[in-house]
Amino acid sequence: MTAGMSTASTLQTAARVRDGVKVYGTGHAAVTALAGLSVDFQRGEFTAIMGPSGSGKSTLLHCVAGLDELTSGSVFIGETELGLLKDRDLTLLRREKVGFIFQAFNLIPTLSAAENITLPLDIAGRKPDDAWYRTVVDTVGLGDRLTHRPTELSGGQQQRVAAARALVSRPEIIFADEPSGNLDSTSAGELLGFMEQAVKDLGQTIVMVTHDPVAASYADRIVFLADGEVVGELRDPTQDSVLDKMKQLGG
Amino acid sequence: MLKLAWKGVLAHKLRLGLTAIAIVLGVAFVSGTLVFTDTLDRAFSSLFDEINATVDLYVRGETEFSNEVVPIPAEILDDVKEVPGIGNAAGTVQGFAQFIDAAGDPVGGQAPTFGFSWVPGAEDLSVLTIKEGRPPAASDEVMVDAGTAAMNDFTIGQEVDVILVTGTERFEIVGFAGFGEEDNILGATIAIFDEPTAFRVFDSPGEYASISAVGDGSVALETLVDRVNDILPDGFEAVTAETQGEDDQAEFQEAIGFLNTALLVFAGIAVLVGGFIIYNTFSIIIAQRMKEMALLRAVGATNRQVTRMVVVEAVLVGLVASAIGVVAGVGLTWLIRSGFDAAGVGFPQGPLTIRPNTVIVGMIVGLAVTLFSAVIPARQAARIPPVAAISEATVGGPRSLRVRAIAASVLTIIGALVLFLGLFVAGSNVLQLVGLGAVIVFFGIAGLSPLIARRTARIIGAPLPAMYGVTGTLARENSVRRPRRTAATASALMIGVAVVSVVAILASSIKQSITEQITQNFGTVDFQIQSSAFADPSLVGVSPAVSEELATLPEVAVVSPMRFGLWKNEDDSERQLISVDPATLESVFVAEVQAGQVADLATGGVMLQADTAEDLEVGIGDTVTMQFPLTGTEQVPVVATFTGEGLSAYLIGNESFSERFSQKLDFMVFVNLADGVAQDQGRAAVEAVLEPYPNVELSNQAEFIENQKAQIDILLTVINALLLLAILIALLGIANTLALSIFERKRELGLLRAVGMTRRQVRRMIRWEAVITALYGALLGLVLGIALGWAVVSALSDEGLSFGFPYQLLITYVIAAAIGGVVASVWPSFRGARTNVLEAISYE
Ligand SMILES: Nc1ncnc2c1ncn2[C@@H]1O[C@H](COP(=O)(O)OP(=O)(O)OP(=O)(O)O)[C@@H](O)[C@H]1O
Ligand SMILES: [Mg+2]
Repeated sequence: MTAGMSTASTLQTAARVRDGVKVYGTGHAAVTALAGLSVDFQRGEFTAIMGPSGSGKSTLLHCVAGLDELTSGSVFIGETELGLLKDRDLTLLRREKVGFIFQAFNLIPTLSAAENITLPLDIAGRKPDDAWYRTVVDTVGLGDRLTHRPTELSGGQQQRVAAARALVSRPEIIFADEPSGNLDSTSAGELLGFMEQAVKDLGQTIVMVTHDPVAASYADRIVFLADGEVVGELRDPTQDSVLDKMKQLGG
Repeated sequence: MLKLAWKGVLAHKLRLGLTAIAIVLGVAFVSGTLVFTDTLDRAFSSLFDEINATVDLYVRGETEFSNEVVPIPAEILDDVKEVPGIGNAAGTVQGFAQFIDAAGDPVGGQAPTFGFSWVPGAEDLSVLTIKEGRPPAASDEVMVDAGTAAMNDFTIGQEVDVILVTGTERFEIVGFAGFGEEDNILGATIAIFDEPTAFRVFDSPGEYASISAVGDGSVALETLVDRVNDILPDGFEAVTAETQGEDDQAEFQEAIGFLNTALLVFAGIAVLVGGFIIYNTFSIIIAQRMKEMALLRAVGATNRQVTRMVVVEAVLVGLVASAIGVVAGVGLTWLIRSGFDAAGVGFPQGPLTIRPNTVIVGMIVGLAVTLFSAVIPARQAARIPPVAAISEATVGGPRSLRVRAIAASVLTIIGALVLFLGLFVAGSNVLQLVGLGAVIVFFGIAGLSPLIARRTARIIGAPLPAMYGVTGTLARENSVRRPRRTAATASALMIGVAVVSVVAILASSIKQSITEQITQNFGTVDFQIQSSAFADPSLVGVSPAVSEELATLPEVAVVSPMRFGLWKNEDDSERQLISVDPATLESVFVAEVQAGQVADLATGGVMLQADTAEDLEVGIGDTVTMQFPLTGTEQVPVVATFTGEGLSAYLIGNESFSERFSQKLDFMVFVNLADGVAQDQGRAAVEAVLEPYPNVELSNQAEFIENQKAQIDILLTVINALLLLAILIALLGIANTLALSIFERKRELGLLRAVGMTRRQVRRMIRWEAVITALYGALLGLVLGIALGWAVVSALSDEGLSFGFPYQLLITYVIAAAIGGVVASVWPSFRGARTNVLEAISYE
């Protein structure tokens, strides 16, 4: 189920990269972050991306999410090829089809938690689906803190608000770059549980970059990167199997 | 630390650059003004020197009034010529003469229109030189200054009409004249006639304006002056050419000093506004460099050193910007001179005069404002604790708002008191007190405004969420995020808008009073005739020939000419008066005569407005001490008192005016038609008489009111143009603050872009943030301006001023401020929309 995946199953694919190359800088200073990798992300699946520091995880995520451009190769979200889009269309696509959870600084400080959750919809001028909004908000479990500003929330609460924001517009796919990186294990557990639930109960597609084997074990599938290439994969991981695989790849 | 400071400046080039522009503009205004007036001053002093180089002494009539010329009887010239030791002497006749160009329009009018006599055989005793052709030698010949000739395509041999006191006459141009090297002086037009013609057309038979003389070298100049003085009758004196030159120079400096002060006031406003921007920029930059400062503290810099670093940064910025400002000021003057040249107004040629003082004043103003504005930010910087380097917490947070509230309120009250003192109590230094009070109030309100910024800006921005959804909400919230910053930015604009509003209110009040006075007190008048140029009433007017001719028309029942003059009271301060025709006054000026008889004005007495009489504690039969240009100090009997507005508080009779003043033109002529004559029929008759006088304007009451209003509007436009710079600097401040805030909010903008905000939405968000700030400043300024305007008008209510509220104009100003905000946001919003998403979200 890696690069070889046939085009027949594209209906099942929320996003895919073909021969993705990303080179930063030119000449002597050139760094190849992605070395022509191909990868598919299945619908309704929670995928984790792991790999050593500098292996290209964040770069991959940014390119798939339409925040950055590949040097060569192609990226699809659904059936839309991102490379062909202008800034405005790319922005609209992000707004409609993509959700984000960053490692930090996810929320606009001048807006309340609730306003932050509906931000992408508000920007688009759309009304949230009430039932869905309630479901998401109940799942976040913020209760009466919804009217508070981000500075009045804990780090874990802030990340859950970010997750809720990613979910509320029912995007095709959600990208998360080390979302639990700044959290203690309890808060991280709450956030990851929430994301897992979103995939299982709500049918959401999530791609998450992480260093943490515990976090990765929440996923349905792990893709391992090294030096800008896919070097391995694991299905239905447990903490132990992740550690084993990491040892095997590291060795 | 100096090295660090320099690095700090370099690292924030762009941000400090914008600050520097504020200083550059302010300093350029200051130094430009100085260079401008110094250049004029020097050019004139060299002109006077040149003229006086060939003259040894002058004979003149003694007067305390700089604009007036005391006529010297021709016999005195004969006597002077007889004085032993005199080589040659000549008298110059001077008067009013205005050319009419080929299109039938009057030439000049804003600048003086002079006529002189030519003295054959005494060229070295004259101000004038021949540039081309020959001097006038017959009663139908005229010479014109070369500058005016060039502007109007006058050629030698051409016939030209000249408006004179005695009527309009046709002359042949026989030559062009100059003043030493210059073809023209500041746009003044000069007509030169031979002496007999000059005596006639200036209506001063046998009277010279001045006598110039040279010695034969047999005695010392002092002795010669003494000898001449010995033979002169009372009221006349002989002075050396040097003294005369100094007096001319002093007179000119007084005239230009007024211009200088006025321009410097506007420059001062610009500098004040610039100060707010500098303060704000330094505060923001320091807030943004908190970590850096804290790190410095952590590695052992004392808070003194941190303060000093910021101060040194300010000095560096101030020095560079002030230097550029001085240079820009010189450039500005050069531009103005080119403008004058293009308009054909003879601005003196030769190098611009840049005195050391100009450079010093410019540098000091720029440096002082920068330093003063950076003091508070520098102290903020010093308060940053070392721990801020490692902790995320915001430190050096807002100080107690209560302390600020109290301090700012006290300041506001003090300012208001000073204003009150200036307006209602103090008799002298009124302008200084009002200015000082206004500045203190500005600072007070600027100090108070962070307290209300948040609430007010939310109200201003209230419709935005409904209009633009979350983009609007964000714009509104961003605008009040840092109330101090918003307030400081808005304060700069507040000052500009406040001053503009006061001016607008004053103008509107004056217009309203004019309308009221004209309709109330001149309701019975059919027509007015007045100079069409809005200029110094001592230089323009209606030839008395006009009223003489009008009086002969069968259609006309009443012709009532009036003249305008300045006299001095016991305290030596100048006052205005109007001279009237006692016989016709009551049929054109509807005033209630309280006591006495208007007809008694013919005996040389004065008629006082009742309030003035009360203030002076005089009644009929008492006297008022008045000093006149030609007759000196007199005890003038009060012959009548009246209530009513629109003319001066002091009225004298036309006959006594001619003895007391040298002005020979009427200020205004009122005309009433005979019974049964229709308006248009009467108008046609009067217009026929006015045909040769394109320098005057006929108007009925409605037109007259409109003309008066139009003149106020011209003044308003000029003042607003001068205030524009302050407003521009304020808008620059909005742009600067916005750019700095955008930089600070890079992450946030990146996030917004990531979750789907389009560039256009980002631009809109930033634009509305700017508009809210601009509106906040404009509304503060408006409220303040209305309050100040109201106070000033109340103070002047004694002078018959009533409050006029130019709401349309004020609304326009507010809208203009909002548009200004949009313009100010162009660059920051462009930058903001370009925020690199990846850079913004990458975690440090
Ligand atoms: N903007 C950039 N300019 C130049 N090189 C970059 C840039 N961003 C990333 N790189 C380089 O590309 C490579 C991949 O970086 P990337 O951030 O994708 O790694 P990562 O797997 O996310 O690492 P980490 O686990 O540390 O976040 C690295 O060698 C990095 O130095
Ligand atoms: Mg990374």
